[in-house]
Amino acid sequence: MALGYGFLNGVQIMYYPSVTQATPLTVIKRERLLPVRGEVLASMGARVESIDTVARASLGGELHVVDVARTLSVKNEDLDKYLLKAVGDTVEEEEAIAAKGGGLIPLRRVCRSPVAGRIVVISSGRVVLESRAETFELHAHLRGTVVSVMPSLGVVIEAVGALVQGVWGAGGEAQGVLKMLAEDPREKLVADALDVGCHGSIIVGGSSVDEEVLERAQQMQVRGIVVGSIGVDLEERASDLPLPVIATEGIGQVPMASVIFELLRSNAGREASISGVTRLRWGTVRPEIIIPLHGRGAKPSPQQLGGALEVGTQVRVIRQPYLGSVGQVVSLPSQPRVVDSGARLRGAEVELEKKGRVFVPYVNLELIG
Amino acid sequence: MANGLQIESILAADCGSTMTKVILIDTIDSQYRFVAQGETLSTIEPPRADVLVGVRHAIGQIEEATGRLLLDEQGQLITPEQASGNGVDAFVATTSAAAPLRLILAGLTREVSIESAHRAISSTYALVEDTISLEEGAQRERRSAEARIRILQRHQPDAVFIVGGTDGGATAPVADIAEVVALACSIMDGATRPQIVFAGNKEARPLVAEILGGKGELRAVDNVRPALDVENIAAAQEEMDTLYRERKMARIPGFGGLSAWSSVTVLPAARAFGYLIQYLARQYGLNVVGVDIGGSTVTVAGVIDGHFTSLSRSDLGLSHNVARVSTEAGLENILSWLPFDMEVTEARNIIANKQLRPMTVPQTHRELLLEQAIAREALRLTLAEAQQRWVGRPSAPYSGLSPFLDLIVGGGGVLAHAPHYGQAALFLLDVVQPIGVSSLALNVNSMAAALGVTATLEPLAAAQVMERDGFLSLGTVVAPVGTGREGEIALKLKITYDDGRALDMEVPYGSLEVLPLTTGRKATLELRPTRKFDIGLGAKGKGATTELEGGAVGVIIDARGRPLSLPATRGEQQAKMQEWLWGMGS
Repeated sequence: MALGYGFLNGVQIMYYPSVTQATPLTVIKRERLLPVRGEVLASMGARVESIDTVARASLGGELHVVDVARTLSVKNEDLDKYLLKAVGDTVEEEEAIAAKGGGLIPLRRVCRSPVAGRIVVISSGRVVLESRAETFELHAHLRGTVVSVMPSLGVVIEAVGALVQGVWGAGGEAQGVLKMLAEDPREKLVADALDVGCHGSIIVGGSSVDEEVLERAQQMQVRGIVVGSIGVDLEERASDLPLPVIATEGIGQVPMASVIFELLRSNAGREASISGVTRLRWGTVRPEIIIPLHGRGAKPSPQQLGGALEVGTQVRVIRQPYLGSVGQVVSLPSQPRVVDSGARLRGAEVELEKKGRVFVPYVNLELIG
Repeated sequence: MANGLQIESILAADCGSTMTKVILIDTIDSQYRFVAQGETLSTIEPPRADVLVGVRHAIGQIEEATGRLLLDEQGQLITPEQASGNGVDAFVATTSAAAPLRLILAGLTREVSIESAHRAISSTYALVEDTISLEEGAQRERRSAEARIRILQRHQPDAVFIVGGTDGGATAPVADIAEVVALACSIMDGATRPQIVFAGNKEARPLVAEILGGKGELRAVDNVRPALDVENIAAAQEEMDTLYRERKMARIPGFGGLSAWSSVTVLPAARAFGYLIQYLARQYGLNVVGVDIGGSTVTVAGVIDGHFTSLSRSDLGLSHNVARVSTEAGLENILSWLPFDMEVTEARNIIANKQLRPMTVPQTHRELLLEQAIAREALRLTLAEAQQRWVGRPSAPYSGLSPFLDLIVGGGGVLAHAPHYGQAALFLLDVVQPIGVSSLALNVNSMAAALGVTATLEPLAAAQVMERDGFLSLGTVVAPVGTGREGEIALKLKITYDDGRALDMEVPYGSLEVLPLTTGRKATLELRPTRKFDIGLGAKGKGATTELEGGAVGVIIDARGRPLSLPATRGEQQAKMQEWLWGMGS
């Protein structure tokens, strides 16, 4: 887990840290995919607004299994003779789906559908019904251009703008105007700061929030919350909110990284798209704030491309005791050093804002920019 | 390729869920030796999303350390080894970076066939998402057909593992299960349909094939329970392994490139680790248990009385699965291993942040000891399952206790990188709780899995590197079994060092003592347990004299009792932990 125990003593090694994007102007491409196959509405090259519907699909309802063969007292293999409906047919509640007898046979047996819906499978004497489905509409989420269409699946949208990746996120997606509610990244967001002006906005705090803030945000119909960190006791509550919440640094009481705070502050008042959707592995998805801007996207920075750590690189510390601090690499010692835990670790000397020069193990650093 | 060896140099990569390690093995004086290691972040996630990128980074570190060129300008491996000394003759790899196989078990009885199915999958990186059992009606609320179908729909497993029925028995119950699976598969999109593995009543195979015909790909293997009192899981194990490779390993981003470089099949790391443990046991005729605490998996592989078992918990680990350890073990149990007070909120914050940034390492003493405490609980949970497989073996005479083990090998970053060897040794004693006389070794260079896969290419290379460079001997532990009063003498001993000095000692029950015996030194140890205590010689009070070699910690007399019980209050626990850590020189 820790790097270079003894084997590479005296040798300066190349290390490629993890990356967080906090970029003022870049080209952003996002896949927008339906949860199940459906119909793509947007065409290649189309300009879309964040609230435009680009695709839609029918989401399955509840499943109901009806043992028709048993109800009619017929053999499974003979069921076809008695069926009144086929796979794909819609049925109403209490509508007959199979029947035996009638006509000259006086004892007529009927098997009726328990729900209104659609027949999805007929197999082994049973009929599987899916109750009436709902239509899912996939929004563009970000203002941009459709650069790829995947029939039945979704689209890829390209936008130009600012991008900030969070670390912890909850909730879905939303759009709104960025509103700063803190003057300083160390400032804790308090409920009193939320007034009617926050309605429909994505609010940005400093270090953390309390439960009262979350409740007030919901009452005020805030569109999203961005803070430095979220208390471990508030994770569940924040996840239950009907709006996305993003922590840029992690869990606890950690100030927002200055580079992120300043980037968001410079875009205050602009329309932004926020997503709290997070997947930590096997196809990582990070929570993010995208602020569409006019202009040409800059070339990806070395940080965005995941380059090696070098003297002068801007980094963020991602573990205590300096969690969330941003600074510049000032040297890359060739020898491992003993840290407070007692372990000998390879790392970099970093000049941190307000904390001065410190030694940080490589794996506790990431590129940011 | 001089010296009569076909393969002189090997790069062996171990691509984990968070870290990728590569070792360079080369021949020195006709002997295979470990030369250098590179270690870096694994690169299976965006923005890099190619496992080979991390491998190249680690190889780059080896190049910098050795001055030997191993990759060409295009980043391709230089092979075979050149006259200039650049390049290597072979490359091998192992990985634990893929997602575990997600399974639904379907069977007749939980106590019989489904239990055997659990054992069959335990050596593969797999997670059982849910179980569908026909006996549910008797024991719990019976699931409707809809509910069973929904289970399959909701989880969208990689495979459904159907078991049940003895060979020659009734086929109807198995058919019922197959029909539910067939119905569920019919509804699923073709791309998301699970693989179906049938390992039940072999007479039911044609019927099951007919029911599932066209609805899912069926593979039938030997019945895991051909008779009620016979278990046969080998074929099912093999099938699960194959599925894992096909459905998971092969989908690691960049796996094609890794596989193309490799001279032999890329192995799951747990399998490779198991090979090494088996080799050790076979070569020296030992009872061996190896434990590996990884970021996403905890593996226990053991050979007890010649019988090999391997168990991987793919839901426990110290990085991606750290929160799961806390949930399953309970935070109170984790905190009980700390020598200082820590508020629950502080511990939860640390755990939650580690889950978010799985690659990070503790920089403070408090966080380090918390991580070791979490690792203790992760291993304790895994060992509890593994020990059930050892019940009834001649070397496991004490119910609920560890078998008599000759060698315990500890691995994983948390042990390999412990700041003090005494911490690593105490960790193994606290969790494995060996009884009798055992040697402790540390997979200090984290190369066990890499050597395991190397053995499939060049067994001699794996054997020679393992013996010379693979493990660090921590020393020998003597742990008497029995109960007594705190302070009562459990064991008398005399240690005679190779320089003639001797030391007599009485060890009280409840104590943990360390006698110095450094690496390279030898000693004779005379052990005389008192009448209530057994040191593994078949009877309480029976003593023996044994020759010992030194280790990084020395000779440890663990008379704390088995099973080890911690004091009741947090204050007492903290005091004990501190005493034990100091006792071990940490």
